[in-house]
Amino acid sequence: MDYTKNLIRFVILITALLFIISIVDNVYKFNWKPLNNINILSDIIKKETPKKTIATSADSIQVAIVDTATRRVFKEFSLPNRLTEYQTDATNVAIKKFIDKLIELKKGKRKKVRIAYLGDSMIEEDFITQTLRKLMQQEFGGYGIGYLPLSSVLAGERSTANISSSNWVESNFKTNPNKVQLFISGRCFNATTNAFTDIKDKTALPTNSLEKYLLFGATNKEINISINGINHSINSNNIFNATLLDRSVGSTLKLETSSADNLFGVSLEAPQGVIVDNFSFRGISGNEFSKMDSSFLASISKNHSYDLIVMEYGVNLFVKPTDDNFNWFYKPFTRAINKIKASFPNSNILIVSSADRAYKYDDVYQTAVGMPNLIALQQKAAYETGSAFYNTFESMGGNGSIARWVDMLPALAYKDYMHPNSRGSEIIGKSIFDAIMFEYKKAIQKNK
Amino acid sequence: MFSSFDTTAFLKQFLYDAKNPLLFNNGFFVYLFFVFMVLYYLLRNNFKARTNLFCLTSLYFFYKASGFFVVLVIISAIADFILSNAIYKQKEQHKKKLLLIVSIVSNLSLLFYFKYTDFAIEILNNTFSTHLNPLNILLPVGISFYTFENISYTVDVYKGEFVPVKKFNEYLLFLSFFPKLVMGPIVRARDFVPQISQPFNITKEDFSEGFFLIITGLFKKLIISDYITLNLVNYIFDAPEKYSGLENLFAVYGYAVVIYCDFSGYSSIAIGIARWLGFKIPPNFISPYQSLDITEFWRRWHISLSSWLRDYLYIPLGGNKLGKIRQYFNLFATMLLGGLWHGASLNFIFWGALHGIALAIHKLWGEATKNIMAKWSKSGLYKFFAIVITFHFVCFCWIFFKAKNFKSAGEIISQIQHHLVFNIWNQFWGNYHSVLIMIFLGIGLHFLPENYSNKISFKFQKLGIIGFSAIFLLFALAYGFFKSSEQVMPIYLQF
Repeated sequence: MDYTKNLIRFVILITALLFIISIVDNVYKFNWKPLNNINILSDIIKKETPKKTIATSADSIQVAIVDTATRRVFKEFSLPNRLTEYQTDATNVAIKKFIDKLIELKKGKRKKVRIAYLGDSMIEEDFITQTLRKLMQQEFGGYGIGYLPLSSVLAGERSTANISSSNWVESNFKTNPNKVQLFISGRCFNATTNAFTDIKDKTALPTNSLEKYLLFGATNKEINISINGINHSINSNNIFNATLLDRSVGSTLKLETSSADNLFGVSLEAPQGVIVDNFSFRGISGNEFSKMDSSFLASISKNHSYDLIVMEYGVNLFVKPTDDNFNWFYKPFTRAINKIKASFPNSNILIVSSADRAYKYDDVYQTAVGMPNLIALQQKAAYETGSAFYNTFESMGGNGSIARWVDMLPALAYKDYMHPNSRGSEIIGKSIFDAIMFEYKKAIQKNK
Repeated sequence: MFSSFDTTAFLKQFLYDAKNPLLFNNGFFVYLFFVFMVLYYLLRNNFKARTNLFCLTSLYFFYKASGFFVVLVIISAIADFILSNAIYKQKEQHKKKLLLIVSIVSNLSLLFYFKYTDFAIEILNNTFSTHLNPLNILLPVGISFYTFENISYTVDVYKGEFVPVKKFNEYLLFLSFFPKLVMGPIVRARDFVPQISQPFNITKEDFSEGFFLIITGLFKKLIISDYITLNLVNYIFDAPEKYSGLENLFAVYGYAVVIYCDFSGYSSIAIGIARWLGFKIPPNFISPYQSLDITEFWRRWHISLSSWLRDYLYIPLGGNKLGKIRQYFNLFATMLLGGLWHGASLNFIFWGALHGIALAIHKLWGEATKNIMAKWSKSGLYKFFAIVITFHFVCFCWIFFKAKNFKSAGEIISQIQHHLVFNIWNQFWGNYHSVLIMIFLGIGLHFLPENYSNKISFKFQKLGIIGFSAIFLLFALAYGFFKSSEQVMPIYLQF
């Protein structure tokens, strides 16, 4: 039987049906995406009403915490690629205590300046911090990678160090069944059988004399740690210890023990210069520090003080593309900042905002609708706690930047539309360094 | 509504847009197909006019998909049309051969220039530390397919297996036939050309089988493949070191489904549309992941390519006629070049080499264990393990096919090898379950009984036009639904 006529009828019928559906969809403006997606007229119909804009959603929902006027002030005061302290005049030096220490370091009046860079997966693999460290050490002296955990599945990916390890049992922010005291890295290690960590620090030369510190809590008993083959007996009841175990020449470290509790990690440092510690912990939002023991933090401040504490969080607050209300985050985050601030009275705190993150809306990658709210909350937190602020989102190029970074050749960001890659992170690291140097030069000018 | 009609946008629809090239799921294709079908039907008894219409539509389709590269198709059609007729008429063997060489060299040069120049520059730079700048040449859509079709055509004519077509529009149609232009299958002239002058009479069976092929093809390509790509494969293959072994493992399984659904889906659509237009093109994929061994896999995977490679590369190299060692070498060389055909990078060559080695080993193994396996090979348990092992070997090779480079492929393997833990399964399932269901669906499609699809398409025949339309609209809505579904984002598990 010849079915050709029916084939043509079928093609006509389907086209007509799709056409009618599209007309009805255009006239009645159904807000049902599956239907809108098969609208065969959508390419030739003018888009009439703009979609829900980011500004309106931001202004209407979160007035309670950051009102429109305040947002405007924040926007005016915080320039991209600069540090802002909202409570002081822009002509003043931001993160002044830290800058003064840098000046002392440069003049030789001080031996070390230490930066703790706390963050989430954005700084995994030593991203951003490796650039900041390199540039700071070039400018102010020093070498060495700073803090390293005793084991990390991601450690192998660092381009700044080769790490291999075995047999450590880790407690951390996410799993801590015995409620042990965690370091500010969010981790703590113990060993019940022969455990080791091998490190080759690629930021130092084999001819450099490199100080190797062990960071640990109360040992509970005498423990034996071998560092590069030399045995050390350690016994301490202090909740935090930073003990120099080796200062020999060489950029490698082999740490072994058969039994030990409450080890936090090691720190590899030059005798003089800048140390930048990378404390990355994926998936967290920074609130974890609000629950930390104040006396423990104070002990760190006393024995291994940090001169600048950077807190880079925020992107993990997005669970769904539609998320745009993060009010719940404000209080615990400010509590966390205030706790750190109180425990490290001689340090400056720098809040680094979330980087841009995009989701697919209407089939196109666009900045998450909640991003302006998140940035405003982080600015407000910086303002309320008297911390400095660096706007990563605006420094990257603001709205739509991560999508542009992904599309660039070579790409600057990964296809999760969330993480800048090594090239992108280098740009951010350099920008933060430049922002610090801007304050440094301002201070030098003022001192003249 | 009519006031909102955008005349500029409407007119622009007729031009090539690099950001929105024509695909089967564009709104524009619906109109183009509609106009074409109606005109084709009206002109069905005027063979010359309907062939010209078909050529024009195909070239226009090509223009909308790839811009002015359409000129390349026309030029290469003219060149091979003239050359093939010259080969046919030429009486002297050595002149015949010379003409054939001209045809092969010119086709391969065209392919090489567009596909491999940058790769060659990269190799030169790496080997001799030169600093030549890559030319960043854009790859014309479909060039790998139509250059191969040209070559097989002139070779067949040279061997006297085929009398070249006398009418240019028939040759142009063979080359540019729009359903298969972008992603194959690779069609042979001797199968295709005789069908051009057949009366346009579609049976109910043709219609329903064509419909079934088109719908399943669209489903595989637009729903399964696109969903898994967007929601898992893209970002994990982009930065495998950031993800756990479990995520990497499923990204590899996911990609195995993606590449199958993409390629075979496109082939199904092409074969289905061709069927509606009165052309029968043999199947290009036959449930490849249910193969018991790698040799069987290549009999089921991208059949039009593997048979092309067999007939125009493996056999001319000597096939199995020049001794065992030479046969293994021929297999290996064929697969190596087959790998390179898929893309210009060492990864593809390595992928081809892995398959080449596996085919050679399988041949050895088959001969060595002939007697023992005769008994075993019928048992269900053997078959199960054979399928699982073959599938996993193919998946392992896909890692090199898809990864950005060797380093990235190494990272995927290392994550699976060293960081595969199952205590994160609940979190993993919680986040990715919709993608996993799609993966299982894609693999599950392979294990429907062989005659199942025939049975379904046979049952389809009972539906009237209204029934077919209802199924089509349901599919369209499902497509719309998945296109707008909320994206599954990575969760960055602790591992």
